[in-house]
Amino acid sequence: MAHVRFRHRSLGWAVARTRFSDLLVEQRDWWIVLDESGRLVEAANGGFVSPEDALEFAELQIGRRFSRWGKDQAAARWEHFSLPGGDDYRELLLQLDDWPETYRPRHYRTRNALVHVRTSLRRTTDGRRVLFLDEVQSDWHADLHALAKRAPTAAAEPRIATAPFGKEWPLLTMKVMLWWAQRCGAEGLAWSSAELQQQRWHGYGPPDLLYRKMLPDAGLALSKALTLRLGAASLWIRGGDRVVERGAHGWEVCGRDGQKLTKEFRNRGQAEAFADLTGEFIVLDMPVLWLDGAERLASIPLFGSGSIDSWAAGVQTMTMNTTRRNGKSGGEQASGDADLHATRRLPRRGATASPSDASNFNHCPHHG
Amino acid sequence: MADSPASEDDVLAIATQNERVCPMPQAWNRLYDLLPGKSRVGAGWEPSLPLILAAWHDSTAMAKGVRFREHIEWAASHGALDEVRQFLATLPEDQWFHLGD
Repeated sequence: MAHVRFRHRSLGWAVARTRFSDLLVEQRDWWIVLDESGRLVEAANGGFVSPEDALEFAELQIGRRFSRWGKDQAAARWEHFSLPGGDDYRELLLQLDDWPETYRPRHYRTRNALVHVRTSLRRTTDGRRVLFLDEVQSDWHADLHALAKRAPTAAAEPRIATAPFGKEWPLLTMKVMLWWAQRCGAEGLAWSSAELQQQRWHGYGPPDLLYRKMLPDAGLALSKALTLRLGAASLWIRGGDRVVERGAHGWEVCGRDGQKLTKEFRNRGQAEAFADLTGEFIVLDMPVLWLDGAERLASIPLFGSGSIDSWAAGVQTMTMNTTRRNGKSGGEQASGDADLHATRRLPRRGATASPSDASNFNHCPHHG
Repeated sequence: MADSPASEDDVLAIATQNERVCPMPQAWNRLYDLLPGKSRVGAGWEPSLPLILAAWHDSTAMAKGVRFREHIEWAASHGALDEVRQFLATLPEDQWFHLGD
């Protein structure tokens, strides 16, 4: 007999606990995946010893069977364009849902996304955990800037909705990310250097101004306002000789030239751990704002960097709503001037998220 | 015709008609996914990443076009031209970035 313990909130797939036995083995707490018709979804070893493994397998299979579903939803999709390794890769969108005009960004399908930020949690060489910002970008302001730069022509230019935070969006982003870093349990907020951007894009990176001046200036302003230490962090980054890719039945670890190094791992965490164990690491120095001793950030001043008081209790504040890929609200408030939307890749095993938190599955209480 | 093996010229013809420069970011990313044999080199990749995300707004149409052509050449040299042609031939016009856009 199988007891359904997790059920997908929209597709009806289930993860069930069962008991397996044959002549030689009796395995209690054996976890299986059932599709919407209650049919067993075949796994390599018939089942899983933990619900986390079963849930991850279910997510993987759902992703394969319904790859076109959810196309209109924001999804973590640009991970290749970030540093390898790291935990809990996310793409965070700062959305102005209540803005009276409409703008559709080029890289996401989310209306009025003011900024997108691509983040992961990383370790420094001295073992500290920081939230790392791989990329910070505003398609909206970039489009407005490009339009303003163009010489007026006879042809009618397509109109782009006006946007707030013209010069302040980098500071606004850093404020939100500082709050998010603390919420993630990170000890600091680190961000990409201009050199890293140049190397990634082979000479065609974002404007130097953003990574050489605007983000560092925002970091400096926040360090003064909140009496935080601004410095440099040496991050361990796995080199390019190990790449973790999604395969047909699990996760593959590939070498530099794309050749598979092992058979597929059942979950991503195992593949990442193998890649970490066997890969080479390099050290990169990135700017960081340490959160040592910071009070809990309860609100964020909408403009400027504010004072410590304005971060503790709102005079002029924004409220935030964090919507994860599973649609659960993890935020403080239901609505506000700006919403923070997050999509994330499947977590590595051992990450802080609980099984039900990490997926689209609801926990089903067990009776008896 | 559609079933004959694609040549690089066929694909370039699709890629440049109607003053096309390159696919729009999301489509270009999907095209990049089709390329076999990619590998990380430092913080970047080989072949070079599409000029999207942080690179989209600050690269010229010519730079985008050159990078896109590199991807077509990579597909040609790695046996992926048929998939690339099929992908590009079915890409709607609004999923292309054009000169003057």
